[in-house]
Amino acid sequence: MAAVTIRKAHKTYGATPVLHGVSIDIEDGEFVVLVGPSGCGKSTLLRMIAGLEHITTGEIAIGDKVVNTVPPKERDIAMVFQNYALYPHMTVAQNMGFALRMSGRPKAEIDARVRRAASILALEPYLARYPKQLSGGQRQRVAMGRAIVRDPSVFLFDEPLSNLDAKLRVQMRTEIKELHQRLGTTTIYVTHDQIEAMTMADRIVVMHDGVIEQIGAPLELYDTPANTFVASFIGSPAMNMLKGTLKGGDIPFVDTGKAQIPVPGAAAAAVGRAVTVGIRPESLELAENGIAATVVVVEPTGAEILVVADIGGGTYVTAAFHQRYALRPGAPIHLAPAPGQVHLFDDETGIRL
Amino acid sequence: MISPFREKLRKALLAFFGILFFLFLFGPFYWMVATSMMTEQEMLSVPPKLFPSEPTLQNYGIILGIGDAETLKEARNRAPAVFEIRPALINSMMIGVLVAIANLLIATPAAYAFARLRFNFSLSLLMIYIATRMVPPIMLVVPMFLIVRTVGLIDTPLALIITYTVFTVPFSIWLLQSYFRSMPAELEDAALIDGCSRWQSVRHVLLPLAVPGLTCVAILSFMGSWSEFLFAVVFTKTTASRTLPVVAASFVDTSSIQFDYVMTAGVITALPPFLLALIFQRFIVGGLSAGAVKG
Ligand SMILES: Nc1ncnc2c1ncn2[C@@H]1O[C@H](COP(=O)(O)OP(=O)(O)O)[C@@H](O)[C@H]1O
Ligand SMILES: [Mg+2]
Repeated sequence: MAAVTIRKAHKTYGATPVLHGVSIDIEDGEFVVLVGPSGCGKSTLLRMIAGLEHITTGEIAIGDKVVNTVPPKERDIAMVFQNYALYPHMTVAQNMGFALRMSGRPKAEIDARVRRAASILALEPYLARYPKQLSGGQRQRVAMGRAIVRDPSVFLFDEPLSNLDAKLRVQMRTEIKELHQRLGTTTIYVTHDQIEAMTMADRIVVMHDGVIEQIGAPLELYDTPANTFVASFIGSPAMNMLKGTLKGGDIPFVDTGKAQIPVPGAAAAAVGRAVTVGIRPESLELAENGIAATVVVVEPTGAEILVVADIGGGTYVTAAFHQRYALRPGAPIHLAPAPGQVHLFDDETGIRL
Repeated sequence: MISPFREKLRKALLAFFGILFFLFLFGPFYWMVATSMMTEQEMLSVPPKLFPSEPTLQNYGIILGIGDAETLKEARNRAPAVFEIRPALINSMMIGVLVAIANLLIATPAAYAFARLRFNFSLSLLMIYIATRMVPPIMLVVPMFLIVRTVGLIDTPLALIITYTVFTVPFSIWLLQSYFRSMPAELEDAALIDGCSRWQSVRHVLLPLAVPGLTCVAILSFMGSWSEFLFAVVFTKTTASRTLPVVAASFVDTSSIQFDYVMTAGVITALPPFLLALIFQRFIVGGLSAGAVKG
């Protein structure tokens, strides 16, 4: 097991910059998720850690050894790819034992370790099969098996669940997390799915266009997003974002032109500024007086109902209620944010105020 | 809704043209095989016979130098060149196999580079390679002859091996690079992480998976050199280097044509490509279509 340190890592492909100075300290045994929209450079960063991509400038260390020029095979890492990358011409057992074979372990030891990994992943009945004879979920397991057989110091996952159907994805999410709790191996997990990030991570690294927007524990990101990008990226349905001006008074409020949203405790220094107010759907409640709105769509999910409402001029907000209100499209309602549940961002920089 | 009658008519017409096309393709081949199994008298009988009444492999025996002294002597009188077929067979085999090996050795690493590395003008370079194949061989035969003569390789198998390799390698590179491209690069990445060096990842992962493509390249380049005539007839003089097509053609001269020997030589010439295609058709089609889709 090992800590992983990334210091000011830059990556350019030819003249195209992809990563603009990324620094992360990953502790030994930690489960860190890199999350961000596709194309933001997550895979590139992961591949740099793996040694599959050259580091343009900056430094990556595994344990206390800087690995910039160390080939992948000497980094003691294992990686699970999105398309699994199972060797089609090898059986499941051979796939899982390949790394041990390459490192020259005796056959008996390889067999024993493959068998142990297979039993952890419930793969024993499939050891003699070829990858094409397995279902997507089974292939995914074999890919994980190939990683855990080696008992590496770091696991790298690149969107390992993207090719699975929704149900299996949820199930594998739990399994991977359980596996991590059991093995305690440092894990870096890449995904574009914020729910995966929220549910699995010890710490989340939110990336966007080659920079890190915020690093923090899942609930930290959820409760105090550092900027509008993180605020709207984390959480589903996404946070409602309304532009307005911060006005002073007994209780400061944001005037959006259509509604006045009280923001108790807003810094007096910010009064008069153009701001963005963020309100999570579940922070909105039905109220006697509040923001006047008209129901547009009602989406019951079972656990809650999502109400999309027009607050005037085609600006939609989403509210999530746990109570099963009988609301019909067209009905006039009033929405009020729960006290203290309003996020305030500078309109220009997007940074949290 | 098509009426049952029209459906029947459609099928009948399809069958008719199908059979016609089959005869068109297969007829000459059958005629060649049938004639090669006839005696001289039977072959020349009027009206011509469709089947050999007593199929005989005598002609094949003669070519390989097997048979009683009387028959061999008679054959020598009719066409001394008949005894050149065996050395030609050996020459053709050797040249074909060496060309195939040369193709694998040259095209595999080149194709790998084209498939996996990004470098300037890689596509243009590939296009230029392929464009060389658009030049009609007849345009090249005289300059090539001068080169071969200057370096003193006239009437050696080496001249043909080099020539055929030059002509077949571009297509082999093209075919293999698109084959490699169709294999996910993550497989090699996974191998690197699993402890392989770059060379080991090629040896343990890429090459085993590329066997169909490599087979296809080997067979196509073998076939390309096996049946080549133009350069062979210009560059060769004696049994030291003459190949089967050249010798087979030599039975046709101005004064007489020994049809039975021509046909027998023809069958022997056609047999290896035919068998190869039959055995490896799956690889050939697979290899070519990987190229077709991804190229
Ligand atoms: N080999 C490459 N050459 C040039 N650009 C690349 C290469 N690999 C990735 N990129 C670019 O780098 C950016 C980040 O890619 P990637 O790390 O795969 O994103 P993500 O995994 O977050 O979706 C993308 O804009 C992509 O087009
Ligand atoms: Mg990616």
